[in-house]
Amino acid sequence: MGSDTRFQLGHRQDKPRFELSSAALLALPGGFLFFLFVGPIVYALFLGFTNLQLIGPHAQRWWFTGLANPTRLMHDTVFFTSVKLTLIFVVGSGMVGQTLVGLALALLMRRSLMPIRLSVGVLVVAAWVIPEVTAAFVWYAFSQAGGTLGILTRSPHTNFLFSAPMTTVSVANLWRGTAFSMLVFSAALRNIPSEVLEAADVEGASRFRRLWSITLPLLGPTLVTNLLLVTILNLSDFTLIYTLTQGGPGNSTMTLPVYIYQEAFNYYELGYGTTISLVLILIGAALSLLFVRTSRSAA
Amino acid sequence: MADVQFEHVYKLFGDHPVVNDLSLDIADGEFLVLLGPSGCGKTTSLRMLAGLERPTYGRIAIGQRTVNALPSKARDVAMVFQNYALYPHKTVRGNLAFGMKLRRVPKAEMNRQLDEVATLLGLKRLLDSRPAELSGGERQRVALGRALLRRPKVFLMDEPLSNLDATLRAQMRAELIRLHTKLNATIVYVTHDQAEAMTMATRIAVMSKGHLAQVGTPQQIYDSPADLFVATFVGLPKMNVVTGRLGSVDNSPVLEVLGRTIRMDPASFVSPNSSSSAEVFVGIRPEDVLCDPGNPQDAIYGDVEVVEPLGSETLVTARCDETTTLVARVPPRTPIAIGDRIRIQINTQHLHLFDKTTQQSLLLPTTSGPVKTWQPEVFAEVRAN
Repeated sequence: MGSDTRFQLGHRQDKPRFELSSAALLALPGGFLFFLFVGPIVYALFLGFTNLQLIGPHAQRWWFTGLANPTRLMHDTVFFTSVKLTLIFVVGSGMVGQTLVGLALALLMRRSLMPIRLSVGVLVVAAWVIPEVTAAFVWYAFSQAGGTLGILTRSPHTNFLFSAPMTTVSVANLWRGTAFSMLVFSAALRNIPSEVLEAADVEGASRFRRLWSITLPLLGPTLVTNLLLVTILNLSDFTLIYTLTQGGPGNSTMTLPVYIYQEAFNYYELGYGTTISLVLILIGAALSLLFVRTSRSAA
Repeated sequence: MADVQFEHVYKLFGDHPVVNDLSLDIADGEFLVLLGPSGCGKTTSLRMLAGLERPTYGRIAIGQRTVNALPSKARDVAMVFQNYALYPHKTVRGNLAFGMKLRRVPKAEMNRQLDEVATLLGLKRLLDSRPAELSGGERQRVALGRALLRRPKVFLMDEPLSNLDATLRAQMRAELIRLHTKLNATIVYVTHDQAEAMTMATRIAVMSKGHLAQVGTPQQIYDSPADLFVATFVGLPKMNVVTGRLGSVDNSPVLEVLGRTIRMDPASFVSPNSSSSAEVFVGIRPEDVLCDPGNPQDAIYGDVEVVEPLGSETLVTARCDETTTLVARVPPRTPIAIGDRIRIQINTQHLHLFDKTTQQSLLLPTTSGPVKTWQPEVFAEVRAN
């Protein structure tokens, strides 16, 4: 349009300004941010390539060992089991389980009567706000031989933490964390204008068609955000699994956070533990990037 | 196409009646406007017709078929919502095609119809845009297009023009009249804007506080309002309402208003319900208030408080006494300024009378037609001596 018109009325007054005094003021928080946030990450990156121990010969005298830790990692079968278990845990329990159950609850609660909506909401959120150790203890008692789960399934002598440890842990985590997804989806559903659904109704769409063609597509961006947050929350989840099984029996629930703890603090291999934690960061970063990418292309 | 009936329809929210005994017949091919202020029950009535609300009592029928319990999707109606309710994640094409996809219209036929409607509404170059990228007027046209493609028995429109600016609104009004003529469709249109109602409707149903106040052609509603509410709600600027007294001179009835005595035809009106008081409300349209008349003898004096030049006409508000101000519609460039003392004359042939307690019109329907129409001979003036 008028882009080739040049206004020559002197100095532009609406340019972004740079002020030296504010730069000086910002240097202080900038420095804090650097030393408290960037510093430790860089330090961790370095520690991952050393033989630092918590207790032992290399606790005082430790040094850079180059590719020794990554090489050890490549031959560590427990590590690969751990990656696999972590992915099962994050994808199965978090991304699929918590998200689907949370979405279903949010959809059902939107249509339900006030007392039902309130009581379900309170129960689900209660499971989320009780301390993780308490939640773990509840599930420990629930799944023991002679526990409620055994009685309900008519196998009172089964200890489900032994017979199906990964499933039990995943379901416990699903139970505990569903509230988060439910709240996220409930908020998003409230933002869908009722007229849009009414318009589809008048146009002749069935209830399922409205859900499929209108509600779910409109929840798309929320779904991505939810998946991102659920992944981050579940990827680093330690307390529940450690309290329930300590990674066992054997290594059958040894997810990466538990394995890191075991290497660094049970076996005192601080350097090697840090190497594994770097892999955890990489997995987290990769998944996050994937979601951000998806949400960009969807928008 | 189909006709629509409301028979003694009520809608209660809790114990509060939002729609109160609505009975209304809408003929096939009619453009019926439900007109009323916000909260009068007009949108609720429309939503009941759409199947989005269920009536508490009464019967609603579309094409002679009772639809009370029929779900929205089975009623074969199309609705245009106030805020358009376009599907935000779908393109214009997707929005238009959704209903046809639901009805499994064959692809070729779908494209043909879509193309036809897009051409009609000037949407062709917007087909791949999303609602967020459109202006209000464009969104409105998409919503309308979506309704047209439904090919329904009845079109339902809930204040579809209220979010548009004045120019666009006038343009869309003309567009809707054209569409109605072309399709010969039954349209039920809800609005609080009396200009929309007057310009587009074949008949207007005025609602007030859940009740149906009056049904009639726009001109009937304007000329013979059934009660004080309709009289003051329809017409812009509002009808002037002053207090008058019914009395008698030489055994024939007269109306005393604004210091004047006007003889009345006894067959033209009924006496007010409250016989104790002969006081009535007298309604005078602003175009029947004449400024600066020729004969000073008939005049009422007023002090000009407000002058509103509108270009094609000028509105003058004048204070006649402590309790009475009159708004007059005068020709443009009339030399009247704030503070002027002007002479006012009232066109006594077009007065309206309302009972002071029931607020119902006291004028009788004339025998010449099925509806009340105004007869200029009703009032003959008596000079005050």
